[in-house]
Amino acid sequence: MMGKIISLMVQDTKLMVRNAIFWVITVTLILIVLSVHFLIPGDFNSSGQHLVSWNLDTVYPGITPLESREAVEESVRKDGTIGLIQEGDTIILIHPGLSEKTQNALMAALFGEPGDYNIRSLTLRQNTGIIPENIRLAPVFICFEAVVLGFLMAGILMLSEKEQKTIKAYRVSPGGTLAYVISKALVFGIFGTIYALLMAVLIVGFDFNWPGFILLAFVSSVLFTLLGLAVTVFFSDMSNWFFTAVLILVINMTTMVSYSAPAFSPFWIRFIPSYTIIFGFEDVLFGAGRDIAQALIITSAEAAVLFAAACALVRKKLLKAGRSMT
Amino acid sequence: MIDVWHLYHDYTGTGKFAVLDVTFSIPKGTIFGCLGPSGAGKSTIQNIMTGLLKLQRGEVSYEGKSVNELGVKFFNRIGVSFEQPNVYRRLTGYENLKYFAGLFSVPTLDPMEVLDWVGLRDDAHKKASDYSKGMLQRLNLARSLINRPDILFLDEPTSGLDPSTASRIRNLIMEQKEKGATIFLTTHNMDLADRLCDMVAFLDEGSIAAMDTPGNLKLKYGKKEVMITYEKDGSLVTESFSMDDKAGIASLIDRVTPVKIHSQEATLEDIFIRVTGRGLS
Ligand SMILES: Nc1ncnc2c1ncn2[C@@H]1O[C@H](COP(=O)(O)OP(=O)(O)OP(=O)(O)O)[C@@H](O)[C@H]1O
Ligand SMILES: [Mg+2]
Repeated sequence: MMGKIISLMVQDTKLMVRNAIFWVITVTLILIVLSVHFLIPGDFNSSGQHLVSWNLDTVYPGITPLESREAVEESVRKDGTIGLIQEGDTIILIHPGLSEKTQNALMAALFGEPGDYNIRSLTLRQNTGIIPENIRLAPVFICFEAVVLGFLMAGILMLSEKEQKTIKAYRVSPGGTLAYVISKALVFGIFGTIYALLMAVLIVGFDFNWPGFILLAFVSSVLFTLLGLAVTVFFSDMSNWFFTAVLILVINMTTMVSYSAPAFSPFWIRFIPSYTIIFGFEDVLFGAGRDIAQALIITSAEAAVLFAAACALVRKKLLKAGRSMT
Repeated sequence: MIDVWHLYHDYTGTGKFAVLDVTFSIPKGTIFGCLGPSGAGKSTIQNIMTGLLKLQRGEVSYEGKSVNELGVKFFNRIGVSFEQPNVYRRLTGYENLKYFAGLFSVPTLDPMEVLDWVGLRDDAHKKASDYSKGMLQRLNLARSLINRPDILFLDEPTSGLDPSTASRIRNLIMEQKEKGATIFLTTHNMDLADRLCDMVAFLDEGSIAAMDTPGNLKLKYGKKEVMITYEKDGSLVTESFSMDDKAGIASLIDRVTPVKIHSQEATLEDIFIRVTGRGLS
């Protein structure tokens, strides 16, 4: 079994890199990274960047004084602002998960050279509004570029196997359903993960939860590959398939709205796989150690269900179609 | 031993049978030829035998075991060459064989060796998309041999090949038989069938119109002919007579001066036309 899968994996990898669509996806990745850094402004949603304070000695321009410490914490939690509270000669910086570098830069900008004040940092991890908006979009880009690679490539490779009728040769070989599905899931799972990592590093940098990210990227890429296999068995030509593939991607993209405007989260949207994945990536990338076990468990469970579905469909509609089943 | 017993197949479910009550058996180590015009049902029979198509009615068995009960092991034993070349166009000839070989749990052959057999060694590392039709056909055949199958299904293995390549392939098929393979061969090529097959079946509109060894078919249906060519008004005229028609031959020779007389044995094609009342193509 292992030998079969490895042989198929090498074959699928070669077929993928010799396919023009793969290079289109790769170039798109580079274009996305470039536009994140150079085209999308970091503060197009500046409401999240307010500074609020309580009990500061001095009144600074641009910092809104509030009536109590609770009000400051509430504002940080709800609106993603940054709070400053003075206790004696200690300034407490209350924020929704800023990196240390950003904290230092901020304090230097406000108070000049360190030394005049003791500074304490307090992270409230409920909201990530402070992350520049272009960078904050990274989970969305990773989900709809790197993670859906498997969905598209699995579909395209299966269609060409149908069109070139090589699938007929596979059907009279001892290959079998499991090897077919597992090989594609692993190849695109691995490539999806590599591309996701590449985007994460190029957009966010190196400061994130790597093991969590790799696990989530792999499971999500496998999930979308399995979805691609399960859907594509129903199609024999590119044009009909393309329409449906785009529709499925668009449905998955509705979760983007929830991500940009958390107020929009109707109950049904949680059932779309990309919902958990995008918010999972947010936690892994910006959550400073926030727990992603739940996102991993949900995505893995969805992938397991899709694995069973993909195997059943590939077997019934692709490999044993029109024949007596044994 | 392969047994096909009262096989029927209806693609559309409308009672129009593409295969109609076909029965034959192929003893181990022999070549069985399935001949017939386009649409006769040859590929349909092959596809039922390899498990690609559902066995609707009748039975196909290998050493007494129904095709429906054969598992993955069966696919380790067979080789199938399809009528239309179906290889990965984006892979080279070598890669096509190599990754296909990886699917088997029995020892497989060196892809290069098999490519050499079909005359593709020099093109082994060219993408299949750059192969000609005949090269693709040979690559298909090569793929069917990679697992050293003891049962071979060859659907039109020489279609689109020039005579010298075709004869090379003919020798290759003969070698497979000598190594002990049992072969189901589908073809339009009567010469190939005549030279290779231990038994041939003429298939016409889904049923077997005649089945015997090529030699017996010729004895049974083929009459030897005599062709007499003579000159008349400055041009050559040929008349043919059955070998038995002594009177006819004598009277013509009386009247004219023959330029050429030769006898000719009926070909399988002639016999096919005689048996079914139609040509092969
Ligand atoms: N998938 C299919 N659906 C419906 N009818 C089919 C299908 N495949 C073949 N047929 C019909 O079944 C009959 C037998 O076809 P088959 O392909 O077995 O012929 P063949 O003898 O192999 O012909 P050829 O020499 O052209 O390859 C034909 O009438 C054909 O139209
Ligand atoms: Mg045919």
